[in-house]
Amino acid sequence: MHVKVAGSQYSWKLDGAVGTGGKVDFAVTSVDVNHGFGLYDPSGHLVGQVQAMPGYTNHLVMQFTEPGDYTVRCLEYCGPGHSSMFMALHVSTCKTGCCC
Amino acid sequence: MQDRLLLLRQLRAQRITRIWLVTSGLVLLGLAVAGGAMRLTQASGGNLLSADVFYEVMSVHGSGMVVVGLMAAAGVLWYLVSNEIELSVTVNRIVFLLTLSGLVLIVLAVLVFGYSSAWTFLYPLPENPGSGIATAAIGAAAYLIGLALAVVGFLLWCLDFLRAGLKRCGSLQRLLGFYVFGPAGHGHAGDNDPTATNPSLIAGTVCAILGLSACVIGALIVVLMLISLVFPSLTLNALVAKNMIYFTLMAMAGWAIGGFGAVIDSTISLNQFFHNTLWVPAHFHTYMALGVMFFLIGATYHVIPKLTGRRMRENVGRRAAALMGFGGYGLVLCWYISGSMSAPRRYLYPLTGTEALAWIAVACAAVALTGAVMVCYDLVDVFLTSPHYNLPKPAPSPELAPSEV
Repeated sequence: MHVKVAGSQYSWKLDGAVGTGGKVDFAVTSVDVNHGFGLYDPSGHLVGQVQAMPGYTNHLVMQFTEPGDYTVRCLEYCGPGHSSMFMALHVSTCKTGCCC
Repeated sequence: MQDRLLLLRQLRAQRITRIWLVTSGLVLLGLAVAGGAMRLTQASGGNLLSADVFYEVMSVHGSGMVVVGLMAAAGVLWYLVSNEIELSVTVNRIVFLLTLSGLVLIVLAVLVFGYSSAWTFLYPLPENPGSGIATAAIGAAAYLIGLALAVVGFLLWCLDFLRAGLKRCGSLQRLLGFYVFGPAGHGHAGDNDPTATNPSLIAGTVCAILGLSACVIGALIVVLMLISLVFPSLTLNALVAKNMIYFTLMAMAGWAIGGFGAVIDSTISLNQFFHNTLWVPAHFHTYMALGVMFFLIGATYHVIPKLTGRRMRENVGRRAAALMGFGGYGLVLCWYISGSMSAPRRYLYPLTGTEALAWIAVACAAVALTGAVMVCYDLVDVFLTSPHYNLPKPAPSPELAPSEV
């Protein structure tokens, strides 16, 4: 599964679906300043992060074992709206490993 | 004549160290209060300061602390090595003016022009601050110029230190004390030359060498960012800019000695979970607030009697140290725990589950601040009530005009 991620002040844009059952490759970039793509599991723990940088595409490969409502938070200070730069990410059940 | 020259040098060192210490002590207190306001804002979920003001305060707190650390260290080192090497008084005055001007510009950039891109000024954030403040570009320029002044000041200090050290010891090898391990340069073990093994000289030399490389790279990235700010069509590589900025800050702030927290923080597999969480401010406050600042306060109590002829109140110092130690370690412990629970740093509010820790951190910060206020009150009180010098003044002589002292 491949997911394109673009950060911008102060929102995330994710292109692609995420599910359990296979590796998920997040290709992360930024359209303005540096951001931090931080993935929090449904219980609020950080499970992975990678920098979102203008001019670069960085990859974060994750394997989700539990479906549920995850949260994407910005972890690199990007301006006064930094704390409000988060979005929900639903990880669905997918036993075939295909894109759900 | 030799004795009088030494006395003259001591009096100069006393005056210079007093100015550096008092200035940095008062600025330090102001910045610590700013840090306390940030803690209170964060614990209250952003109710005390707005987001704009919170991040402005964060920017001035971090930048100011780095500059104050340089100011105080320069003053104390001057005193410690003044009997061994002859640093230039003129260079010191220029360094003091540059550093102070840089600090004033940084404060103006934040308070007047609304700069809020943090002390790490990660490119291209200063150009694109996302705050909606009309004067933010002027603020970014003022901030970068202020930082450049402080960096150039520190560069001059490093160069003058190495010049004076090399003049006294003859070679960098002897200045670093390497001859202890075998014959080198002009001397070898057992030649009874105290200069080559003076710990203050060796420590100062290491700082100066590290500082030189940091300042050159720091000045370069600041100038490049200023050019990019004036000509937005000229863009920099964000990764290269980030590496240059962090190398400069690491070398200037002694990141390499960040202790156990830094070792864990730099382990890649663990860093996945700790990086950009409150673990990060915990580890650098461990060495900056509880390492460097404690050294500076200890040095202040040690040298003040020699500088003023009056002892600071040791019972006040002990109580202040206990308060600052208890409050300071309590504060960083709250951050270490919050960081391990995935609480992000530089957030306006605590994440669910860390609210109680945020309030305990506020209480600990208040305890530490009480200690800092006690030290500053004691310091100012000494200078307001003490005689200027405790050393005997030389007899009037046509060769030694009062203005020279």
